[in-house]
Amino acid sequence: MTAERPLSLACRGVGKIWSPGLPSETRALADLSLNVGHREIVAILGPSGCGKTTLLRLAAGLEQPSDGSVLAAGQPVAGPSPTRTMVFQVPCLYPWQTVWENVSFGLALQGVSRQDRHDSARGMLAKFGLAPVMGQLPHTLSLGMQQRAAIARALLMQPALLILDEPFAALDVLMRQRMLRYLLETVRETNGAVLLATHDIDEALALADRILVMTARPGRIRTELRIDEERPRDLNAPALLAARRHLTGVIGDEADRAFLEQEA
Amino acid sequence: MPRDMKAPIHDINPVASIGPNCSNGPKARASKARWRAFGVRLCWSLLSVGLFALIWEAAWLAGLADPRLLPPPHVFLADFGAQARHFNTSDRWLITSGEVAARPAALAVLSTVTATATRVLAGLALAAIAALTMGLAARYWPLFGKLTLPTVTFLAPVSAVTWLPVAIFIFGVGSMPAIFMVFIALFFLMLLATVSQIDAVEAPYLEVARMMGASRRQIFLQVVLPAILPGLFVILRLNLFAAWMVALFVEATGVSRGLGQVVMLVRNGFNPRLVFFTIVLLGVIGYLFDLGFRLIERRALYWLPGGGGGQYLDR
Repeated sequence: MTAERPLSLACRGVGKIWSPGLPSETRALADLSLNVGHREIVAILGPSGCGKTTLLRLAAGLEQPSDGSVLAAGQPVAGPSPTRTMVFQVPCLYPWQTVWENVSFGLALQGVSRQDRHDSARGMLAKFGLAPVMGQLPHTLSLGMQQRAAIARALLMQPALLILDEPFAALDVLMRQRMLRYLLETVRETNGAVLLATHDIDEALALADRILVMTARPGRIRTELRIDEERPRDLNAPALLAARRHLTGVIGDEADRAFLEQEA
Repeated sequence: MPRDMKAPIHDINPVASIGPNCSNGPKARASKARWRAFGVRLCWSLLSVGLFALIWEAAWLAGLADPRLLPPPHVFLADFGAQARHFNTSDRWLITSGEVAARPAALAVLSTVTATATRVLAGLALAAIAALTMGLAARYWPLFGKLTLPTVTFLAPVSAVTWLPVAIFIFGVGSMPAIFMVFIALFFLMLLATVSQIDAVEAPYLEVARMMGASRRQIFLQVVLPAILPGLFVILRLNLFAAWMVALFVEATGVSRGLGQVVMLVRNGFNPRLVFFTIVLLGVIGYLFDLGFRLIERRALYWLPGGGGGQYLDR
């Protein structure tokens, strides 16, 4: 992380309250601060319901914070932008467009010609093993394939920050590893940073430069762990084994706390 | 958007195919399978109707159905020539010219049916286009929506029949009041349906578009419009029969010539053969309309998982 480069994402004392003033008022995030440096891959771990998705939606500009500020490349995030594309937990492809039309939708909006869109979509889809099905409609694909197409769609915009919300949950283990590899390659090529939410510790260990653990609701950062191993990583290396043990303990602790709070 | 369609793009295949190499093979096979399914369905339809007719004929043979009141199919269908004369209402102004007698009966039936069908289709098309445009506009410009939608909600529950005097005040007699009535019967309902369909578009669809940098205009035309079309087709098809009823009603009051006048004639003339002949005719027309609609739907909504074209009721 170089000092001159503006941070890809900077959250300063961010809080988010859902339906304020109503009986269903929920404090999803409170006083949360984090940085994502230029080309940095940051994984966020936390028990389910801790506000991971809320944090990502704030970063994508789909929601506005109740407190604090969210900055991307030094500028306040006012709304969604192709420079910060997010992949949801479900693929969300448009059923009326073919796979390649879906993947190149962002280019279509910019007025890129059909042939050019087709070519760039083909290049990206080939990386994700989807070139043979690029002319088909999404509903003819398995959920895992659809999710890969959704990731390809987000990457095609060459975002400065790629935001991933548990995107590999629908994929099997082998496919997950391949996707992680492709994702790393492509992100390296496009010089983008990645903000990844997951509850899979191994996924975070394999991918991230830094791992942040969130507390139970209202979410804030509890622990930060830097992983300096070279990629591709051997998850059984002593350093990573120790890191996993540490993370498992912290997350287990938070999950217990969340459970007790829900009981109370 | 520049569309370079001259460039060969082999991968565009709007029809959902199974294999990765989607050439003409699976496409042709799919079309063949579809025709077969259609044939099978048609056979069942004919069998169903035939069975119904058979029971009727058997009741006549057994002396249970009085042929004067409940003439069996072979009686009222054989009487086609005599009954079709009544359809000359659409040419009534020609009676004095002696031309009517010279016309073949089938032509009289056809011209009457065409007159009514044209009105139904015109009213339907106008209502659909107007409702879609105004619905999109009401959500695109919130001020416009706030100014218009309460009035629409207020007028929607008013029975279409109530509008008949208005139709006559404005359009007098002829085709126009019938078209207007069909339009009124469908427009308010379809407009409200369009708006509720727009509101029901899944949020992630819109969020993806926003993240990809879509303008509001692009979101409405490229995401909202295709997303609401399936729902609108359902509404349109459900209201197809209502459109027919309204058109027949207007014609029966004598405002316009057409099938509705024959229905009126049937009621006044106490002619059972004509009654059943008209019922069969309306049934066939309704069936054909529904079929035509499904074909259009299949074209427009090729991307739906079921292949588009909605569900057959007679599955």
